[in-house]
Amino acid sequence: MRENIQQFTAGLEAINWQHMASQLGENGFSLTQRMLQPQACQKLSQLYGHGQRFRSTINMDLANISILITL
Amino acid sequence: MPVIQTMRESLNSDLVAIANHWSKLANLGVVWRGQLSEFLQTNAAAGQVRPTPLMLNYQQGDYNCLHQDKYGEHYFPFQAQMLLSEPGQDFEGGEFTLVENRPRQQSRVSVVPLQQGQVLIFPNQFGLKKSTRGFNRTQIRHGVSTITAGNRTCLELIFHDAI
Repeated sequence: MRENIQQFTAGLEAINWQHMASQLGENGFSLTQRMLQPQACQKLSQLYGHGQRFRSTINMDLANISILITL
Repeated sequence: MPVIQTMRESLNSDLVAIANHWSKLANLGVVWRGQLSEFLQTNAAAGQVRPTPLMLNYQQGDYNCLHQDKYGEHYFPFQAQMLLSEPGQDFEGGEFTLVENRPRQQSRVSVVPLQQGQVLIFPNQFGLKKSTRGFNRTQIRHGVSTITAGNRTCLELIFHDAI
């Protein structure tokens, strides 16, 4: 997981915050570059994404998704 | 420290300056502090003690209606979503959508071209719209359209905690 944090930290350092601030103001959102490589994404979703770690499944009018509290 | 909390703290500290700038423009009278731990202590004092970072797993037919993630008096005005699946490969549909309700105007919709590993930053309460007298606040809600095939996993980083 240390690798994930390194990739994420490097991604944060690459962000142009001025640009992000103006995008948030103009577009209402801002997208970063890819901050985690596909393999890291898969690892992360596998680590947290299986079995009883899932706290609950929301199933109501608003949403229909499986949710996991990660902390 | 768990990887998710590390991500949450570092991203938050970078967003605080933008949040405080918006607070000034919108005359909120709120100042967010540089350290997430301090902010979370304030949350806890108001009963917001439940952690909010989520891993969401959408399967075929799943969706998330337009909403705002506000879980108590204290909130941080931006949140983040990192997509862990690859659109078109791992799933179809499931577009992240933002709707901005503007005073005396039709609502504006944005469909975000979020790719695997990218982080989307968006306002979870209000947007700002320039007016002759300064800035007006708009209402921003977000949701995810129905997944038509496959599996969409994402990490949602909300910076305030919940009651």
